[in-house]
Amino acid sequence: MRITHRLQTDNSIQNMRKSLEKLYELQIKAASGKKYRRASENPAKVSDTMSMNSSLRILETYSEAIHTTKEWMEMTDFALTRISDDITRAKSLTLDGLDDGSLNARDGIVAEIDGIIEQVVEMANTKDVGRYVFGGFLTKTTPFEFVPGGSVSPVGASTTVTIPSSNPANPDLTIDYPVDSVIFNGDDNIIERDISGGETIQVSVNGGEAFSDGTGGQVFDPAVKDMYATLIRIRDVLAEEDYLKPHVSSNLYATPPGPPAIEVAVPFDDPNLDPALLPAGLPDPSQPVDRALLEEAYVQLQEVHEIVLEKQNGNGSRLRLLETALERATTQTLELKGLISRNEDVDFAQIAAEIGHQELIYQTTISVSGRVSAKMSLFDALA
Amino acid sequence: MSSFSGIHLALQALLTQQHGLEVTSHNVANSGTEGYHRQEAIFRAGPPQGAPGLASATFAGQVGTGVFVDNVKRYSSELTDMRYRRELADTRQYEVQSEYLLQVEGAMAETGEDGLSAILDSFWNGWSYVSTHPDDTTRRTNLLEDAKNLTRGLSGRVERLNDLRRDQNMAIIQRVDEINEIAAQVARLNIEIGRFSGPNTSPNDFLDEQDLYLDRLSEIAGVKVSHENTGQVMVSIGGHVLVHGPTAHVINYSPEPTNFNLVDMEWEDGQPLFLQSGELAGLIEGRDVVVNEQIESLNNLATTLITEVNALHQQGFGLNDTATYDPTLPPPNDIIGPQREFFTTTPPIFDPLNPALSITVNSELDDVNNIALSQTVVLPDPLPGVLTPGLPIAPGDASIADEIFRIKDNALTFGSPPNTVTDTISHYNNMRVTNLALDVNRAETLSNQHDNLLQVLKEKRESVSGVNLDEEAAHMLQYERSYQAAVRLMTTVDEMLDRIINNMGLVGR
Repeated sequence: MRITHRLQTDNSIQNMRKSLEKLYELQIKAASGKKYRRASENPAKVSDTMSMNSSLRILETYSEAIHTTKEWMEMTDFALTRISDDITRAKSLTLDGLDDGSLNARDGIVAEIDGIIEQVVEMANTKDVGRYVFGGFLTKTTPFEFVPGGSVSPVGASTTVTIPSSNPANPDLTIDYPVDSVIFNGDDNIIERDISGGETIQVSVNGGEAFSDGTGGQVFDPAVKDMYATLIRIRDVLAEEDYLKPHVSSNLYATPPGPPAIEVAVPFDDPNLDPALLPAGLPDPSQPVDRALLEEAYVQLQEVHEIVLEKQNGNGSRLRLLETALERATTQTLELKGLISRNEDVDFAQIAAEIGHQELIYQTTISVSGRVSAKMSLFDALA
Repeated sequence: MSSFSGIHLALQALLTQQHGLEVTSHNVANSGTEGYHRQEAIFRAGPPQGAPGLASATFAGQVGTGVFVDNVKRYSSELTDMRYRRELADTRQYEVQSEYLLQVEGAMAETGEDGLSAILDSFWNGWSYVSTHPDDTTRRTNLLEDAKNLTRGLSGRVERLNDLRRDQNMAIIQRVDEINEIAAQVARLNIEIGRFSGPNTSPNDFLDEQDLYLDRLSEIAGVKVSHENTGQVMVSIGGHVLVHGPTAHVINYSPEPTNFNLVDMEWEDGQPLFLQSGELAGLIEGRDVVVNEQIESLNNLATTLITEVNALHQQGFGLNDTATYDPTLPPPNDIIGPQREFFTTTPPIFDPLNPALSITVNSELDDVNNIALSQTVVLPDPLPGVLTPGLPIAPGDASIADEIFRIKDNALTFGSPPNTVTDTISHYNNMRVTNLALDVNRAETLSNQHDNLLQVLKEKRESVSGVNLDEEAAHMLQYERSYQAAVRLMTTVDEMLDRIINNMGLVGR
């Protein structure tokens, strides 16, 4: 082949250009730490990386959702534990009441149970970041509300108590008295959430279901598993006087016809009252509490407690499920990051070696080119 | 035979060697000139003369008359030129295309944090984030921002593609202008060449100029060249004559309304322009095929996104919404909500022909309480028998958000029949990115392949036509020596004549 000087020059320019280009690419790779700058450098690999990056972002979202959910469920767990403890305490207080019927002892128990009622209402109104956890979907509405006896109708308006007469000549006394109650303002929905693709977990415990037999605002009934009604019942039975007050007052001061004058109630164990004026058949305040009623309520309290425990267990096992899911998400994240790194991150040792090699090639190329462009033709040899 | 013929012969030799030296200096001077083909003075011995003599029979028959320059040869290989130009056209086609596609790829920046894939993921994640606290304004605002980022991401991409397409259009116009200009120059050269060429004269430097023009024409439009004996050329593009003799045919261009007012080209006689290779073919393919595919994919993605998200969002209620119960309708239609769209689909804000460009989040949702995440209505128990408005909604429900979050996992249909694709939205987007990457990759590979071949042909061409300084130096020496010899010859003849003129007939003086 006939070689011309121009061909030589062109070639050496081309070689220097290519060599420098390679060096530049290697330097970019080393500086960015990435194997590819553009998808077109390796479409298949980059497409894989894109998919994996997308999975990683979704996984991070799931982790975030799991964390938030965990907070909520931990709040729920805390509330349920406290309520369960309170019920346990109420149970032992009820047993105490059964053992020691003295008025003084009962007064203390009644006061404590009253406190427990207040506390379980407060716990059942637990919030997570401003949202009520037991209210179903109605997270902005206070789910449980204490309603004093008789103040709301018909909810918790009254209950009927029959006092057997000891005198066969007199009929049994049947009285209505207003009871306190706790109403439920939530709905019956349960919040659920995706914690990984297609896996849904129950997040909330429905308060109505757990504490007030679904509907709330009930008065005590052995067929209704209402925690509040049961606790209120126990308190009222132990504080026997309270539901007798209206009866006593109406019998003493009201002249039929006319409604019982609740507001002027006088305690029937008031020492100032003339015992002779008391109607026959009234329970003796010095006598122990009505055991049958209290035992009935105690059994009910145990059943109610079981429901709460069951909800607590359910929530607890779901929490563990959540932790497993979180662990799995963390493992997956690490694995994906490893794969992505293998796909797109450069091996620095290798790049360093390649750059060294390429630098050598470039140096050789320029020194050869220098010699080519140096004057080398017959003209220079002519004298 | 004249006594002075020796001097004449020597003079002729001097002139010829001088001419040879001139050609050599022309070569040396142009050894770096683009498009220059080396020339060589071809010498020819002069026509022999019969030597008339008294006894011609015993004489040697003929006497030479010295040397002449027969012609100045221009070294070129038409075959190599043809192959070179064909490769040049292919190389430039893919080179231009890959440069342009690289620009598209760079403008889309799909692999980074601003890639549509990342923006889409943020959008889905926004729904998940809000679903954990559906009544939280901050999270709702966050979702709104993610959604706006997505609409901007889509419309920004289409805008950038449109800009690139317009740039491309400018480049096409500029190339067509260049073709017309060069065609006029080639036609002019045809006239000049026709005038100068003859049996012993070759318009070498005009031919060099012509070759340069033909190279550039091949680069732009992959022209076909046929040479005529006169040295004139006929040039054609896609079967239509561009230059023939002194005539150049013009290519016209005008905006095409059916193609976004981008220019369309046709010959002056109204025939369509067919391009098989060259820069123009690459530019047009980039402008009309690859960019359109990208825009169409983005449009399909936007359309499906709008349809899917709106369908779910319209079933939901915002935080401050109320529902109406209509007992005359069958469930679940008996509960009527505000049915707000998430993405606006009403003109003039939304243009159904350019969904990706005009996609926007419903402006009603700027009040983030209006984002519908809940589909639970607090119904009275028992249900009333009459039309009941003003029913409150349950703010803790995020089932709409959950459903929308799940759209990302669903296989959806993109495009309109019969060209539909069913895939998840992120796969569809990845496919778009990968398709572009493959297009770039293909253009780069082809351009490299053709370029390698082109380099070989270029070397071959240079090998034939290039100036080798060693050769020129040798020629120079040769001419110099011949010149010196001719001078010596002339002196010798002169001395001989001197003898005859001044010294003859003086014998015995």
